[in-house]
Amino acid sequence: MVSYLLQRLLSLLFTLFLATVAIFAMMHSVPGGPFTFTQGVMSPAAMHNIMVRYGLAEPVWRQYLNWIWQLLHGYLGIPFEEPTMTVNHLIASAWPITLIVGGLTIAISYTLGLLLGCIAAIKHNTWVDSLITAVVSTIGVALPNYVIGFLMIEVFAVRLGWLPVGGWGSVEDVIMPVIAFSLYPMALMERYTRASTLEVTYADYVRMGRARGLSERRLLFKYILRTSLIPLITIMGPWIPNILTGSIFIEATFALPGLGAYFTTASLRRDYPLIMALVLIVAALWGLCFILSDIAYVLVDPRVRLEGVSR
Amino acid sequence: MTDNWLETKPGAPAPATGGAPLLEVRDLNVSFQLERSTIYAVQGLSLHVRAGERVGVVGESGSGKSVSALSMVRMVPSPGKITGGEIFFEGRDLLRLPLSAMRDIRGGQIGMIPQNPLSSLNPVITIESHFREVLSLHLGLDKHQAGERAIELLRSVGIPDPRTRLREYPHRLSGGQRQRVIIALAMACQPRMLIADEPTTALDVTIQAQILELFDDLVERSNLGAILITHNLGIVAGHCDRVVVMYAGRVMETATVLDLFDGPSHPYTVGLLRCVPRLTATRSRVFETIPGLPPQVTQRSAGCPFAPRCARVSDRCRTETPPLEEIAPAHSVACWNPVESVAEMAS
Amino acid sequence: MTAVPMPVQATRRASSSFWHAAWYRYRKNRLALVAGVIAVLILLVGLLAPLIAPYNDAAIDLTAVLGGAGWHHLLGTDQIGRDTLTRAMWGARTSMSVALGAPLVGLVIGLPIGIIAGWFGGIFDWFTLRLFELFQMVPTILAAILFITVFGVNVWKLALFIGITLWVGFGRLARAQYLALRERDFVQAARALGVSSWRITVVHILPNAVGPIIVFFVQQVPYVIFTAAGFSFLGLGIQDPLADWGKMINDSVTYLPIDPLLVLVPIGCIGLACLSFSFLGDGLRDALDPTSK
Repeated sequence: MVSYLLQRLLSLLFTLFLATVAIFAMMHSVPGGPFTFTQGVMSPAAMHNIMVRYGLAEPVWRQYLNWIWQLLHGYLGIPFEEPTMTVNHLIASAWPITLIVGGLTIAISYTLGLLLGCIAAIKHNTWVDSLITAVVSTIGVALPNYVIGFLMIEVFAVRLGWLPVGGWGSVEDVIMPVIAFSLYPMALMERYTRASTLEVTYADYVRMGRARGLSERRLLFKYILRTSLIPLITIMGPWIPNILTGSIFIEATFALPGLGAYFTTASLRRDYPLIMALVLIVAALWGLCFILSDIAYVLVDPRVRLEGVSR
Repeated sequence: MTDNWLETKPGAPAPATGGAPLLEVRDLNVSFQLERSTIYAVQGLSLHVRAGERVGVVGESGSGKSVSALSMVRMVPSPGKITGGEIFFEGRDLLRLPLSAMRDIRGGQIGMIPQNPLSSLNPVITIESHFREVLSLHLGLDKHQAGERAIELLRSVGIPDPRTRLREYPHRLSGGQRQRVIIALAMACQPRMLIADEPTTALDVTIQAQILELFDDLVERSNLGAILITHNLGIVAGHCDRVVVMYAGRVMETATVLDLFDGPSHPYTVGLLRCVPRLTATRSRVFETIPGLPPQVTQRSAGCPFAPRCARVSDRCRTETPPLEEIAPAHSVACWNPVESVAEMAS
Repeated sequence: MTAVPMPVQATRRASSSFWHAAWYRYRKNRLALVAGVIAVLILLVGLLAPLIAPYNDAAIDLTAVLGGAGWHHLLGTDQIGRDTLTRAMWGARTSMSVALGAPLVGLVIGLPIGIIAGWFGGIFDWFTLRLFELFQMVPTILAAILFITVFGVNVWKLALFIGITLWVGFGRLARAQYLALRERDFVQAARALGVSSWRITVVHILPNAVGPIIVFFVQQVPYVIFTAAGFSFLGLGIQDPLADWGKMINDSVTYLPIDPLLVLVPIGCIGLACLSFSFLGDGLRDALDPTSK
């Protein structure tokens, strides 16, 4: 099993490497560069100087290797748009905000989603189930989270003045973005939890447990939930990187100085170091989540532990 | 020495033998309320089981036999409901008991053996856990005691190397082994009665024989009352003392095994027996059938349910429901034109 | 003597094919039925917009700028005098084109790859799984923005770019379905009879995999609508003079105090479309999978 995880780690690193190569190649193969559109027309000599200065005059593969070299030293380069800072610095100042919002979103949406899904499944065929499913499905899925965010701002900030319109400075700034961001994952989580739990509720071994006189409480925790939550690991994992790297739209709507904005601006301006750094972060997070969910699966499902994963 | 727990517990009430039956069902009615119709799965079922006696319940799919079995422990799946009748177990009407008392009986007094061993064990807990749950619940045993008892139990159902097996998870065991574990679980708390719902249908034939032998053995040694649900007349012949034949939710005939096979009275029973292929049959008679299909009973109408397919049907059969009447000691039939002798039917 | 033939009143149930049964189950689900009707209506509106919209979608009427709802303009006009109702209808056209086009792209790319991975297995499969991971790891927004800045954007390009981000889902699903179905008894039976792999895949496996694939397809629609609107939000989506719900929201946000209808109409359209396709997807899933509750 340990060997399996090691294998997995290696293959993920391999994929990570491929991802960076792919993006690097793509960036450089796309017409235009970071300085093509700035500040009017430059003389070819000036342009050449700038290219050399930023290490863009070398062949692409050499540039890539430079980047790797720098990376291994923990250095992500200098962003073209903010030449006074390093990419490391940029990310260090922006990411925590995104992480806070993202972390809270995950905590809230996952817990609420799981809880509501379980309740809905247990109270299957009653009004509780119908209510939860209707409300949650509708709210979560009807509108994009930034539209909801926008509506929330209109109502709670502009009209009622209860909450700040945006920006980042006080605790209240977190409330609306997190709520808006959480709705969709919560709805999805509720759905999957409900489906999984329902499936298990009617399983043979649950009925047999009942036939042996086990209490409903025991059946619920040790028979139903214990097995229904396992498949959810594969669902929960992949969303985490997305949430933790922030929603561009939410951050824009609420004027949060997080990582999201950089995704757009970096791409638009061909800010190579920044783009690569962002790709690296997202890809590494993904890799981490893949591994963690594999580990979680192994820990939680005895069938997998002994026979190996075949996903 | 390790098996002495199988014998009746000291201090338990004297087993009912010959006298009052262990289980007595009177006029049981179970129906399923669907969106636009009601299915009367069991109508007017009456039967009894004594200690040490194996009663087989035979019928085709849809005859109501499984539902009957589940009713005994009040586990009819929704939208099914027990709508009438009484089920007396050791003198108490199970249908009037509060659910907590019912839970004591389930597993503690009545053990169930289901049809599908492959899916009847919790996949995420060990075999030992399964035993511990049930032994601490009904017998108040602690971890250590439960472990020892579990090993005895596993050994008594023929599982080799029980100590290692205990620590394993269900998916490591074969179908036959899982069924044995389930039987051991059913027996764990020394129940007075076993209900086996087609316990061997999902197993291959060699294992079937072993499981059924085990079943007989347990019944005999612990003087249990047992209900064996099956569609296989061969199993009935070999492993039951009495038989109840069901059709369309009703009892058609009940008799001792000998009487049923020697002298079946109900045309349906005769038909069933004729359907069993025989090695000695001549070419033209290899596969016999009863024409038609069993009905899904959606109306409580009068008349014998078998009338549409019966060769001996009369007008009365279509309009009046024949009651279950004793035609010989311990032999009852619900028919207006019961068969006098089998020779009569074969022509 | 063989069994006596007697008048048999056996219950005859019309043998229903899988699709008949599914259709029946679907019909019984009121919510799914309504959702399905609405979804189809939206599609029709989009399809027929050039014919049924009261005005030409680019028609500007500077005399009626920001007018509220009235007889000439049932839902009002926007800041350069375009009729909101018309824009909403044409918006249906663009949004639905993207909303259906993107999953289609994803399907076309993902399905064959998934099946091929399952079919050949081995190192091929290993590489495909790495490919899946690769595409999932790369932030798709980055890639899409890159493409848009380079290649420009119109309805079909947007569908293409977003579609490329969806292919992994289809690929994984196709692969999982293929692998699962291949082990089923009826497929084993076909192989034992000597049926060629190709024929097995096309005739036996594919038709059985269609159900979950359709459901997945429909479930992608709300996500695509969100994403497309998101791009408009960033200024990278559909451009004028084409109408697009996302763009409509974006443009009218500043005019909210003056004419709330301008913002609410596209929001309502998006909400309606997302909800209806979402419930449609649920209904299809319940109908096509008899075991779901």
